[in-house]
Amino acid sequence: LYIKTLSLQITPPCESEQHYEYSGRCCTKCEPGKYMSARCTGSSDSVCQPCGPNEYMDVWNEEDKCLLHKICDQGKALREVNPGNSTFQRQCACTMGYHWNEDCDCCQRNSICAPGFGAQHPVQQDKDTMCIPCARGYFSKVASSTDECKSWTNCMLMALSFLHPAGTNRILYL
Amino acid sequence: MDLYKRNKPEKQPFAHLIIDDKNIPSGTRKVNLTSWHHDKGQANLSNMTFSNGKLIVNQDGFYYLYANICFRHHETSGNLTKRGLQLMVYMTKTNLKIRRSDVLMKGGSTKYWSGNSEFHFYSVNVGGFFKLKSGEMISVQVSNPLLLDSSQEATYFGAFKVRDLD
Repeated sequence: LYIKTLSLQITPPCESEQHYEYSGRCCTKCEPGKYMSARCTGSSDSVCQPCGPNEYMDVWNEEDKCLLHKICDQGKALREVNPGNSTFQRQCACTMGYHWNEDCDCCQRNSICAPGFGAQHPVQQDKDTMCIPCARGYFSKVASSTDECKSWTNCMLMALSFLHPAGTNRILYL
Repeated sequence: MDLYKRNKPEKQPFAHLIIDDKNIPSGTRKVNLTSWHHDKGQANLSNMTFSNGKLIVNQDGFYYLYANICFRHHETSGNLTKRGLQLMVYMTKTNLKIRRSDVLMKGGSTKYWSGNSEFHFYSVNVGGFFKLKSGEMISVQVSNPLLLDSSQEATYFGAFKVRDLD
């Protein structure tokens, strides 16, 4: 029993992010962007090959194949946000006006804000519209998924801008 | 030991083919799907041949054949020319020696993809146990290639040998 504990203490821990144990040896995994075409042998370390086109591997691995990039399917209203590369997965997002819904696995229409409510800006890509009630001094009379609340018309400024050739900007500085 | 050697379970032929999203035929007529991946992503192939869009049997035996086909439509792709659809999949066995083609399996549904919803989706799954001879070829036809979901988990077909012929 004493010897057993001792040997456990001496053996360096092998299994880690970058190493794996194979037939008693501690070998190197393949770095991101590559897959393992052959495991290590008694005389050589693992053989790693780069991922092919449209493939990626984002972690140190012992896989016999790289992963296939997902498809940003236009037919599902998806578009590419980041094309990805051999170490980073491609990212897709729904086209303008839609947001990703996990439940239907599809791009859903953004919510429409009723009159009295406006869409919170900036509109977040791939996120549903946030409707907020119009604050005092603002209004919305349309049902829209993109329009913010508009400010009330300033009748005084409007009247003055008609009278003055320089327009409203000039008057504001007067 | 002898029995194990004779059956050679590790050599049993199999194939799982995923749709090649870059080469999906267009249109809304029934077509042969000829472009599949046999070695990328989840696709795999062993002791069978994939050539000219057909899966070729190299070893006589009883095989389980299956296919899963997903159809989808989003309003951003524009209106469907026909709202009443018949979304179908056919799995066919061809034997060139006797110039014969048989539909082994068929699945699908009529659909009315109308209304105000932004997304429509439907998937067909077929599977069955068949006696196949070396040289016979398996192929897949679908009714509306334009509506195919091209991801690997959506549209695929495959085969694996279960036992030898008696």
